[in-house]
Amino acid sequence: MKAWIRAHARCFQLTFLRIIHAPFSYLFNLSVIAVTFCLPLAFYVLLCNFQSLIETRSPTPQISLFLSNDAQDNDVLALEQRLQKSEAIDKFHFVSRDQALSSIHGLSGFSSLSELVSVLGRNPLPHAFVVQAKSNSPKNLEHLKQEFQKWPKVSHVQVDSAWAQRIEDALSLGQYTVWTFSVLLAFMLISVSFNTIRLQILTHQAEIELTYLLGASHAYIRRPYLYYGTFLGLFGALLAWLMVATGLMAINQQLALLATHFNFHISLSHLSGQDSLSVCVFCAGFGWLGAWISVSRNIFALRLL
Amino acid sequence: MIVINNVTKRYPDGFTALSNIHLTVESGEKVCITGHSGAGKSTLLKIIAGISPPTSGSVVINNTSLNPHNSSLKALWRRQFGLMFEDHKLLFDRSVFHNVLLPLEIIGAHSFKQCAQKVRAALDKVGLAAFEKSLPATLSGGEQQRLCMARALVHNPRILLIDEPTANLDADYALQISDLLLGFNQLGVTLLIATHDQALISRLNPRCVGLLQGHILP
Ligand SMILES: Nc1ncnc2c1ncn2[C@@H]1O[C@H](COP(=O)(O)OP(=O)(O)OP(=O)(O)O)[C@@H](O)[C@H]1O
Ligand SMILES: [Mg+2]
Repeated sequence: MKAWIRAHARCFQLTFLRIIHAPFSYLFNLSVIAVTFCLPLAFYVLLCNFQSLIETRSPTPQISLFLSNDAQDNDVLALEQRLQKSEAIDKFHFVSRDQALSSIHGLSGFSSLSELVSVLGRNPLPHAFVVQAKSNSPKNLEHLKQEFQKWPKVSHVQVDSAWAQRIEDALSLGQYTVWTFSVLLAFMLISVSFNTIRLQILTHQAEIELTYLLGASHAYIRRPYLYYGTFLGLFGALLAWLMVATGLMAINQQLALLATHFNFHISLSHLSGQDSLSVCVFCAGFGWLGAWISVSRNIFALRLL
Repeated sequence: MIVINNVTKRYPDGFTALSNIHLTVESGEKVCITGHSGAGKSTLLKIIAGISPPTSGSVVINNTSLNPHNSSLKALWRRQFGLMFEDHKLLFDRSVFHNVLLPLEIIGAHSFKQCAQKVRAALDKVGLAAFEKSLPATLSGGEQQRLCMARALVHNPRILLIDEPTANLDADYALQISDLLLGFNQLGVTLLIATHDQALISRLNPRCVGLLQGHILP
């Protein structure tokens, strides 16, 4: 275990020495990765901001549960308890059939309805619950609707989510674009890492051969190159992150200026900590993969291993 | 004990460098492999070291036979030797110290402090203690040869496989290297040396194995 840690620590050191030895070529490779990565990252950041803007500024959709006409007071009570227990629900209120009728009374043009009631001798409107879900994604709303429909004495569930669906569609188009960019980026990372490592292997041919002759394992020979590729991806991602952060700062300054003129305030925020971490892991991972492929192919080409 | 059993080496171009070699070397023995240029001396050492796989036959050391198909076993196999190559194989982009450090790094069993001690001791033995920080390119041919010697010795191997140890050395240093090798031999290290150098042979007084066009001379 101690030897293993020592080997990795030494490898870390060697990799850094290599980077410092030829800092310019490393920096150029990094900037290729960073600049290419900047665009999809910026796009993604804007998308996230757009999404959270929509979530905070839009009216919350409501789900209406209409009960069947034969529902009694104890049925209403049972449903109320069930709603209270449900984890997915933010808040709800009960609209009795009388409340519903009186609210209709208040609206003009429905006087004939009250006449109808007096003719029928009873109120044709059902009891209802109006529910607000915790998550307003169309998927969740649809899921809740399905569930409510299975509840006893619930005759009809209505969800007002058309607008949510439209925005969701727009966002998912954006997300597809991000995914497409990411796939392209992954290929780019792999090929940049592959090529860089290939050149490294060519320049270190003598060293690789010697370490092999002196009894180094495959892992020992591979390790510094894998580190190199991983660092390439990781630092590329960090650099891109910084570039986007700088861009956002500039944009936010302009937005603040606008805010004074138009009396509303928006500011763009960068990726969350978790997203930033994922981005770094993504890039480091593909840098590693490119290095791994390169090492496997190019060291094999030396006809040693 | 090294047992070379019916080893034949045919290179991919069809040239047969060694045919049906039988050789047994006891531990602690000193053996010189002699022969004209191209006789197959270096090839034999490479086969023993597990660097070049034999076309047929086997190499057995202390009852363990070399498995040419398992790369991690081969890597472990190679670590038991101190190797000195005829083309030196020094790394010119790192210091003398780090060249000698390499075998210890590969084995990875010691802390850096312990390694540094061993490296300095090895450099001291070959008279290069003052050159620790120099680059190999700034050393003379003989100094480079002694540097190779230090690299072969640094991890205290039980077997030294040495190709032309005195090719670039003047008589004084050749003598010094011979004495160094003798000293190791007296500590029980097995020596297998490919050489033309008569002075070295007479100093070491080894068992001589002659090779002629890939065959062992009777
Ligand atoms: N990789 C190779 N491919 C083909 N032929 C080779 C290869 N390596 C060596 N040979 C041939 O095998 C023969 C033996 O080579 P080897 O290097 O063992 O000779 P040697 O006895 O060490 O000679 P020297 O004293 O000059 O070092 C030579 O004729 C050489 O041309
Ligand atoms: Mg030779």
